Amino acid sequence: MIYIKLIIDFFIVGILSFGGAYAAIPLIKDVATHYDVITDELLVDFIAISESTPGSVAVNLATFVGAEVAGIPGAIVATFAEILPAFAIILVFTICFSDLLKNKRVEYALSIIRPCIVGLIMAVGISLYYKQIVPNLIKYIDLEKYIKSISEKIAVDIPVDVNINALAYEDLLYFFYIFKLIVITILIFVSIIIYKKVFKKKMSAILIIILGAIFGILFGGFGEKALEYMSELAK
Amino acid sequence: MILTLFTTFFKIGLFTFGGGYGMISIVKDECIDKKNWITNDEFVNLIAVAESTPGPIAVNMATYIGYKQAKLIGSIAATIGVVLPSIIIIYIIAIYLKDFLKYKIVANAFFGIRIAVAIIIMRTACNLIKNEINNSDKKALITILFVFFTIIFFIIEIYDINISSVVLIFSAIGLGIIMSIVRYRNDIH
Repeated sequence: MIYIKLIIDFFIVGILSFGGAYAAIPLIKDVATHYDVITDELLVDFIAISESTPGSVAVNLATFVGAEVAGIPGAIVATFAEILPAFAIILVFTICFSDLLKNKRVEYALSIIRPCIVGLIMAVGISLYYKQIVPNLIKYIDLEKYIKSISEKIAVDIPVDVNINALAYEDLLYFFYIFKLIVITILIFVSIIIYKKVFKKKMSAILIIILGAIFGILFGGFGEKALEYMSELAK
Repeated sequence: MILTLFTTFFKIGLFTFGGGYGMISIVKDECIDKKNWITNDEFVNLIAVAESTPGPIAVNMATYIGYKQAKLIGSIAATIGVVLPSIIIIYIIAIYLKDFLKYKIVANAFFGIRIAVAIIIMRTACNLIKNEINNSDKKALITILFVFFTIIFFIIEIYDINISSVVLIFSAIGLGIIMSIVRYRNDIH
């Protein structure tokens, strides 16, 4: 029975996936090899989509594999099999250990543990942002020289009948990418501050995400547009 | 109550981009700042527990907060609420939109969303640590631990060092236990 196989496979993934999505992905990769319909290519696509759609990556991947293997029932069965261990463990923990957390000595230990955990959260936020910049960062350390070299390339190096050469094009894309990143960041910060001034309360996280998406759509195509314009000028 | 839990967590599930840490910010907004379902301290304790047990943080949190509000039924409602948006969205994508990441507008929206998520995670961390420092008599120690762990984890993330966050969480827990054995008597008096 395909459903029982899905349940067992994803239940095991659920038990073993300590430490969030990035622990679960390799486990689900292993499981996916049990099913002929899931090709490697498909799985790579699945992972990319799971990482960007809402919801936890591990849950999304389970839904994907389940849906591909056995339609809607498969998706539901795989997803719930995967979250069952997490659900059960926390339930048992909540029922059995809630009083333990109120113990003075345990509370003392927790007061040491908490700042470390918040440190991890902070680091995740910073590195998420940093990873948007980094593949390109080193290039821009000498920004002034860099911009000059680009403008030289555009003005001098480009033959009239040929588009901007591939390398310069790549470089320019990166440059506009960083520019977009900065613009969107500033816009989000400004909106948060204005919102607080006007409504006298914190802007909700959900609203900030929606704003991010809107700014992304508005300014996302900016780099390509600018390049088109520049190559027009060069002609 | 059951319905409120379900709809709140449905909303959280719908807007959880960028994995478990993005959701931490939204849970703090919706369940602590707006509804006062649990305290800040309880929330960070819960993150420690969620990170050191298997499974997605989203599910762990829904289960805990749901149980606190309305026992078993509450935990089931919250958990189903938090995973349902994923199931619906992923199912639709799996059937109709396999190429959906290739649409320009989607890619652009996600670019903005990733920036927004990074910002809300940092904001949440700032709020939480401010709260920890204000309510503690060990301000210096807490600040040092916070900065130290931020830097260590940042370095691990950046250089792709192959240490799971579980190891770090457990080392934090170990530190907490050792400190409580060694220092408890001195600090309490």
